[in-house]
Amino acid sequence: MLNARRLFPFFLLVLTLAALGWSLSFRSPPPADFRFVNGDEIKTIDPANVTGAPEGRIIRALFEGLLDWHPKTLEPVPGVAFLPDISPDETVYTFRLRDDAVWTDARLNTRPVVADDFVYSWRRFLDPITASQYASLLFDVAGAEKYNRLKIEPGDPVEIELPRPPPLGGPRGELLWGELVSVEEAVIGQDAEGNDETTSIFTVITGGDTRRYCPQAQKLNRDDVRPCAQVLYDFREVGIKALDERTLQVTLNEPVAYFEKLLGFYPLFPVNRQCIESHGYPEWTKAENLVNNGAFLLDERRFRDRIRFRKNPTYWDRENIHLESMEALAIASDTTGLNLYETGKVDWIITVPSTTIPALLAADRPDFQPPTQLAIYYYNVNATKPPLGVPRDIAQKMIAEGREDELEALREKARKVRRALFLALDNREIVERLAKAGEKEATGFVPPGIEPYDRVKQRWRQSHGKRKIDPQRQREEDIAQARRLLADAGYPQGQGFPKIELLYNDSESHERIAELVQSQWQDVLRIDTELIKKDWASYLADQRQKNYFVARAGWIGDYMDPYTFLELLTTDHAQNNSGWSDPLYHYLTTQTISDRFASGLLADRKAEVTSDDKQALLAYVEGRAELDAAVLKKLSEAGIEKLNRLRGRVEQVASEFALTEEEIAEIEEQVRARDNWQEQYHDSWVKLERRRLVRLKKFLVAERFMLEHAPVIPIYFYVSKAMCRPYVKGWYQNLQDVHPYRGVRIDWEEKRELFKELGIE
Amino acid sequence: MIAFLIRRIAWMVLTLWIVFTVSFFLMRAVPGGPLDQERQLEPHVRAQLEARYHLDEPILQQYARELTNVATGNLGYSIKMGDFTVNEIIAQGFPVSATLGIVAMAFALALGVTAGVVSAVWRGSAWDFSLMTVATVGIALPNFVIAGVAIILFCFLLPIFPAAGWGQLWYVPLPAFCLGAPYAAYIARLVRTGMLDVLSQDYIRTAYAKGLMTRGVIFRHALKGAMLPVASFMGPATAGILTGSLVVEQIFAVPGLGISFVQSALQRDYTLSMGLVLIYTVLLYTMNTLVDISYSLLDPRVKLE
Repeated sequence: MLNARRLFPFFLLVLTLAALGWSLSFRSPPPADFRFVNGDEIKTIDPANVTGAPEGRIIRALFEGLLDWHPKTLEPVPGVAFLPDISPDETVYTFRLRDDAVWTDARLNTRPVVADDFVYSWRRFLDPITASQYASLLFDVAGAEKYNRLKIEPGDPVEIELPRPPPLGGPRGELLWGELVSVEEAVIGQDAEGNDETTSIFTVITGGDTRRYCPQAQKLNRDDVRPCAQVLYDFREVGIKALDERTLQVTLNEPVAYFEKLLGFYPLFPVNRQCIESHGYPEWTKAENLVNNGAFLLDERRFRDRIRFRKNPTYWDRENIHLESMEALAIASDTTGLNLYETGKVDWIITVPSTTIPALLAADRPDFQPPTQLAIYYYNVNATKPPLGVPRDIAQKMIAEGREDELEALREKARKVRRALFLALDNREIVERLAKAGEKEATGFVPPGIEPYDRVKQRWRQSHGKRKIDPQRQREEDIAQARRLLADAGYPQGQGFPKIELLYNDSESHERIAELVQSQWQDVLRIDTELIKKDWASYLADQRQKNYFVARAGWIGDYMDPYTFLELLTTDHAQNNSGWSDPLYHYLTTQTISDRFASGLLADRKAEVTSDDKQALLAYVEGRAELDAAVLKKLSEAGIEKLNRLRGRVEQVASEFALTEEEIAEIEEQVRARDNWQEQYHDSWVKLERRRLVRLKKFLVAERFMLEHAPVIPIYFYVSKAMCRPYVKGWYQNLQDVHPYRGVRIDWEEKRELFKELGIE
Repeated sequence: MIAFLIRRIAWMVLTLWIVFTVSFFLMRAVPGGPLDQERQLEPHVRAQLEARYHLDEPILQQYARELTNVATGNLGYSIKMGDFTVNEIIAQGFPVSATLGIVAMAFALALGVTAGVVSAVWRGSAWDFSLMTVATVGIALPNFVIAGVAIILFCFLLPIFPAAGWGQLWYVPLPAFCLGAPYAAYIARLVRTGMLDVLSQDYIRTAYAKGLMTRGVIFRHALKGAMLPVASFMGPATAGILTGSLVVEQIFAVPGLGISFVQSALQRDYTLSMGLVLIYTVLLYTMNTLVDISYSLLDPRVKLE
């Protein structure tokens, strides 16, 4: 033991030296041409399974979609395909793929990118088992929603996928095709709360036989039911088709103004079938296995450290890729990011700490001029919690008891309370006192910058004689009205108003805003608000379970169309955290009847509403047709009354979204002035443009109507706090803060000079 | 010694099992789950994902499944960062955290012991006063403040060290300094007190009386006794360095396990959280065992039991 005792200090010394040697032994590749801070570690590089901007920046480097975006305007530019041929009714898009677009693996073997790759990738993207959260992006494609959301009806062609072999994410199970005969529900057990857990048994005619299939057949113990992975709408009926190796045809349900723009959005980028099926997930995402078609190849990926790319020498547009190597650093701390930027170690950071914004703005630097974004900071108001709304179970009970009038009165009272909170909140003060980067106070729910919608809004303001009122006076009017509404709702001077809670996730900036709102509501309405601060996951869970009163929220638009914001408040939308629902709003934004509304009309609660029924109801609501006897028979008396009420409400607002003569004449003129104008298409083009304008005008009516009901309280529109060194050429600030790498170039001369001037190396 | 180690290992296995069980049920008792995110899932998608991660099974079945996996060394895939297995994440992050921790600890020991000895031997001198003032300040300041000051000094005013990152020797000193500084300060005070105590003992007087040189007395006889409190401090200090590294790793963008430790808990990444909790348990346990062994090596009066 004596020896050991004597050796102990030396042992420590050796350990330290070994550790030092270890840290020395890290091989360090030379700094990349272009380095940026990418925020937190990304979830995955699988385009079908991501939702965040950091993931988008990585996927954009590795994969390329049918189309790409212009770095400045974000208008679609050719990608794997050229700009599409669009049919005159604008529902069929035909894409010609370029000959030189290729898939590349780590050893630089290549294979052409073909139309089938998109069919495969988009089917995988829509496959319910992939669980893509962005699947609704393709719902305008004929049949896609049916495929993804399992909305199959008897008589539909279906595909039966037999159980999938491992590995996860590998090839699909064997497919059978047939026709759906019926779907029945069967109880397979009870969940923790004692509710029945059910599964669907599908009866299908396939190959002349009638068979039963069930995804959970093993829990049923029935000999006549065969196991399967899932039963889906027949994908061959979905409007995504490879006409030949290089021609892809996409058929939409109806014209969609923004469809071309969607194709440059990263979730729709293609993946390589062979790579995925031979390796399975997650092995296929590893650098040594990955096969991709973008401008860069994956060099190395270290968890919570960095992703290193090298230029893809086989990429078709390699001449416009000026960066030999690129690094995305996973750095979650904004301060650390700014330190690296200021010491010249990175060229682009996605945000700066909010405390440094005043100093950066005061310095008036060319690389910090925050532009407005397509994104909003707002509060959700829980319209299913008294006193802000009526809980759904109570509402259902009242309907069942035939107390609909009473329910309406309760809802109106809750609306007044929400609207009072809306008006009492002064977002101007919030922006002036707390939002330091020049954020704009939100006057609506759709951020400015969506060009045709802005124009429609502008015109509406002019025609309604809306002039800018002095903000001071406007505020006084709002306060008076807020107090009046609260008094009308039965809480004069806030008397008897229960204490409400304001929920936000743990962050200093959210807290400051919440404190200010708390004091505004106290001053104006004399009501008490308790601030509830929670960690991210609990905050999300509370909202999902509608276990809150008012909650902070944010939303970033996915594409340049008002719908990307307005859809959040449609009935039963997954993101509708307010729980508010109104059939008129749903109609105006989606131009459809919601499932919930339609099934509420039925005499038999358990009956199904078919899509034909919904079409008939829609035509009736729009005043285009009367109800035929078959549909009428299904409706209850109260249902008919409810339907007529909606029809009346649509009629009431119809004058607001009807086109004026002036607008009709303008459309006529614009169509005629098109470069590719042709007599034979003139009428269908005019019709289309009219529909488009009516759609936007409906959005406008919907947005104003929704704000009157205040399920959300808009606070401000975000600005981008990204900084990029001026020597990075081909990089532009834009509305969505998305930056394609094609054309990005480092001006080395300018970089040297700037660094010399700043005294950094 | 061997028997001692075997006993310790048996206890460790038991500890790991308890930690696993408690963490497993605690994680699932906290509101929110790994599938909660800002963009909400459609119900049928949620069902698919729950099935994929076996979250739809009864909790005891999940427990049995996880326990079997962990026992066979398979920590599974991270639920939130699905491209990586938990084993991969630990294999990449652990060496980094370990390097940083060992260097920080070595620095803390070297500086702390030197300062402590100097202060004790020249008690009441200007050296003693200034070193102990620095030590007090060092203990009082949290390491993110030290990091902030160090970055301003050594990255902006005097650009010697890189502001953040990892991968070369040059990246190590600043984070190691910031991580080790409070411990250096604490160790300095411990050593000083210990030395003062030991220096007044009879056996030291005996050593001087035998005619030994001051240097020999201090290093051979006094220091060993003064190190005992330091050795017992090393156990909790290692824990501190490990948890303290969260802040330092974040500020200096060091790709260790610290950030994952916090983030995985916040994101309810059950598998990654569990893996890291278990790793930290093993680590702490090992460190405490080493401390016990070093005790017996430093002080012949202590016997391992």
